[in-house]
Amino acid sequence: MEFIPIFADPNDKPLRGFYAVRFDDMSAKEDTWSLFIDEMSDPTFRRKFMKARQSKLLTNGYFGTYTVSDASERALEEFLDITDELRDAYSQDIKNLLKLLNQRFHPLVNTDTSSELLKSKAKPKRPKEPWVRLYAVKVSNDLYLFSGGAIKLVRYMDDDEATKKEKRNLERLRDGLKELGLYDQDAYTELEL
Amino acid sequence: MKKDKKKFEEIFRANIGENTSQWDTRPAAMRDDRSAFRRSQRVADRILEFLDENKDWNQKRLAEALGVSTQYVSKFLKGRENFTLNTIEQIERVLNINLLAENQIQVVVPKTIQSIPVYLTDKRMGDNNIIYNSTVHVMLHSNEHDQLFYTGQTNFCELLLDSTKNNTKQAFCG
Repeated sequence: MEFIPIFADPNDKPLRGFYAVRFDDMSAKEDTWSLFIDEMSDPTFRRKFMKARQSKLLTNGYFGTYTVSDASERALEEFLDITDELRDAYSQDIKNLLKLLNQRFHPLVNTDTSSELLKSKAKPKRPKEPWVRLYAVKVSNDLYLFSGGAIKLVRYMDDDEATKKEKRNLERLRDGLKELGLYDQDAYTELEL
Repeated sequence: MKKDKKKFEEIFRANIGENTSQWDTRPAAMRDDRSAFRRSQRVADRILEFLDENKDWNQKRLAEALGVSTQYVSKFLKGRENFTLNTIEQIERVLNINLLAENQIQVVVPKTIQSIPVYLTDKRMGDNNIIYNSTVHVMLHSNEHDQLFYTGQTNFCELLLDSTKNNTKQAFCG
């Protein structure tokens, strides 16, 4: 398993920033961030995703009524918004990025079963219940590892294959950190943005 | 604790890999010409919608009709192709659809708003003068004139705003 600097400088001391993960079964050109970008920016992927969930999730009134095209566009816009925001923060100063990550990522609870966000006292900047979610672990002060992103149209991660896959990625990452001797239970937190 | 932190950093640094995925150029490219990127995405989506609705068409048939490879069709359906007008016209001719049709609703809002979710009602006069309502949830995006507009193929004659985001001063259908 390798850690790929995304919004980070590996020469920083102490280590800080936002890293992606290259799992052992990924090619040398892949990592969790590149796969996330490839999926979210692919209209074929988004359309297929929304079509598969259309009858259950896009027309039941919870989100209002969405056509597949408009649902796909909403996911694209959310993806562009969040990646722009992270990139802008990092380009100003890494401290801005870390502040943003600290504010916006919320701890996940009970990822072994149904997961629910801890209620945060801070007001979220993004609209309530954004569809595009980022998953990461915080392994030490100011050091985030991105395990993957998904479109989440359900309340609990166990309720949809896409978010179940992200749960598995979090587990893979945790196991990988343990193997490397990098798992510190006190510092380790699983997060969702 | 200090020793553990030092050891942690040593192990972590030893496992830092090279960023070879070119992720940093792709979002930048998406950003440098965001309008063109969005246009590519929308055109790709409309073609995909057509292929979904017309089962006698597929990517292979489209490639043959356009005289291009299936790999090229696959590439532009991933929304990464900056379509030329000629290509768009050719696809429109082959599929007999309009890829760039825009139904604009102009909404005047503060400059700081880049996009806003709204509910749009599509009212059509049906048989026996019955009005059919179809409400959809769409995103309005800002253009270079700081106006919010929607590009889509639904015909609307009324704009209903999401009550939590009502900053509109004026709205009309175009």
